[in-house]
Amino acid sequence: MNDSRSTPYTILPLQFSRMFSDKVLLTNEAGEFFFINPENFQELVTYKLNTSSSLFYDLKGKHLVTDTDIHPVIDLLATKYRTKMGFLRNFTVLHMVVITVRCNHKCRYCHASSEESHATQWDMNQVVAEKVVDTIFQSPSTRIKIEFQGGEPLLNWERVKYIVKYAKKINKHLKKDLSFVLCTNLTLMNEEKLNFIKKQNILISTSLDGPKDLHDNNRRLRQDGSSYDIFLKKLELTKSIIGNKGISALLTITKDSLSRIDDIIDEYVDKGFNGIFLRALNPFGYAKNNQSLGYNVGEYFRTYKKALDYIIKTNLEGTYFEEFYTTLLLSRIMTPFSTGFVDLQSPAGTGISCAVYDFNGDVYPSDEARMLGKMGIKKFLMGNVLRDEYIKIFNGDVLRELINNSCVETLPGCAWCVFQQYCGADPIRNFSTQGDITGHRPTNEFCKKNMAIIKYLFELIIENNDDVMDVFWSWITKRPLEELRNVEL
Amino acid sequence: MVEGDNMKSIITKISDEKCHISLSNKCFDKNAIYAAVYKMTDLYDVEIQPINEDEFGVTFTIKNQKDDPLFEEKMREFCNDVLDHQLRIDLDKQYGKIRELIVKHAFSPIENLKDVISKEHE
Repeated sequence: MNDSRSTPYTILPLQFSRMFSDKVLLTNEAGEFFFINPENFQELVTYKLNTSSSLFYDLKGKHLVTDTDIHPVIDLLATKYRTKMGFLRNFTVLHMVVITVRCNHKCRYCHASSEESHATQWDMNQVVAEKVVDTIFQSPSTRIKIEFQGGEPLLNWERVKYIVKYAKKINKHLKKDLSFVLCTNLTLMNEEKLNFIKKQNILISTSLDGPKDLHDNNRRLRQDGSSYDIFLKKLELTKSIIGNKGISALLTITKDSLSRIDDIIDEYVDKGFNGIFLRALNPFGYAKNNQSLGYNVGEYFRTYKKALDYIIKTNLEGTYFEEFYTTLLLSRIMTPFSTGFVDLQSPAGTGISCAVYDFNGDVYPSDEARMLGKMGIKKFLMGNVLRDEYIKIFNGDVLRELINNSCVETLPGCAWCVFQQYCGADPIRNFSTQGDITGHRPTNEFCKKNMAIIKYLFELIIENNDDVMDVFWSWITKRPLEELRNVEL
Repeated sequence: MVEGDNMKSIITKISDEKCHISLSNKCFDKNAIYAAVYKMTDLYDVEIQPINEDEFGVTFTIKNQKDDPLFEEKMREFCNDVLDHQLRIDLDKQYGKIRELIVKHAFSPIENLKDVISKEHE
């Protein structure tokens, strides 16, 4: 490495992979990419590229080669890399609080393995709630998001209200950017609760699995009746009080959903949602052993492709509607900005971007780790707010081991992967599905799924269809297609 | 790329379930072979052993005795993967220090970057 080189140019750090039969994809630390044909790639790595050619200038522009002094290039790439890794700057932002493990639903796939509605011993009490909030506010992050989870948090509504008020009281002095999210199935919602939610500016995250028959089949009430009918009534009530923007919904895809993906998307559009998060089934809780729910990566990927095509068509017909996972990946591929996402980042988001506080004060690096804890596997228990100091919980061996083993740059299979900068690691899932936190990439479903999706997005990017690319940019910039197309350049 | 007759000379099909590949250790770093083998471990049981002073032997056995119509094609793919991994290793020898400097400079800016680069050269 030198500024006075013996070769006509310096090849900068890059990953490469041969794909689509006649192309080689090059990517660098900053997530920039370039496709080159195999002959030119051979010339590139043997230093036979003409440094006056347009190809060389393209590669130079992407910081894959340089024929000038190297130190300004390192300076620039370091800045870009720092920007991309900006999600690390804040440490733990998302704090998920399990207000109760009780739930009035018994969903077929429930990864939280909920308890009966009347079993109040599974509720978080006030002493624990206060200590949880005290612990949360010791996070060095300037942003704090408290997400109420369950079970069904509305079953322990008084504790939700208490935490919101207590957190706001503490924050009067600390002045952090504080926000709240309530994850609820909505069925116990009423005007009084919604007025509080509106006044405290709490966002609602709910669940919708599609049309009535699909939703009712997956999301079953503990008592008889249609969960969909109640959901719909309460959704209208919620929107009438807090408006459309304060509520979003999550979809869980089961085997029955695969052939109905268009119907599901139509349902989301019809109910006024501006996007959908296509989410494969989590291999935890009830879903782990229920064969009738699951499917393989190939089946999921075919559904993803079909759904993406349908969503793009919906946008081209005039309705702004995003697929959020695609937007996340496209932002990583096509922009220089940082996009932390706890389920897909490197190092993993477990503990350093999110933490879960169980009803009894136990702290876990993710909800999946909490589920393993409930199954008796306490390997990922970071501590308990009643007995442990913040520093012991968040600077302990559990979190250090997870982070040390979830940097894609060092994981077998990931270390030389061309998609490294767009992907991430999930050590808890690796442990749950493959028996160790490192995982085995050739048999890893998480890896196969993300590889297939990212590769497909690159295929669409290469095709460079104007309509598709316009839709992608409208999602990345959060602007309606019409507005994007009318922008004067 | 490894193609045609050269390829045949290094791949020996022992049976429908077993293939042996000889790779020169003058051309290939063992880490290039390990990395290429890793990708195949979902389908095959793999043994790597030195044959003599100049060669590694890699034996692939199909897992679960299942028929694999693409067995030979995958063996050729493996040989090409070894070449690509060797290229990654060779490139990393050239720019590995640059990568380290980029990451270091990103999180803990180096004041005299130009001097550090000159020293690396010395």
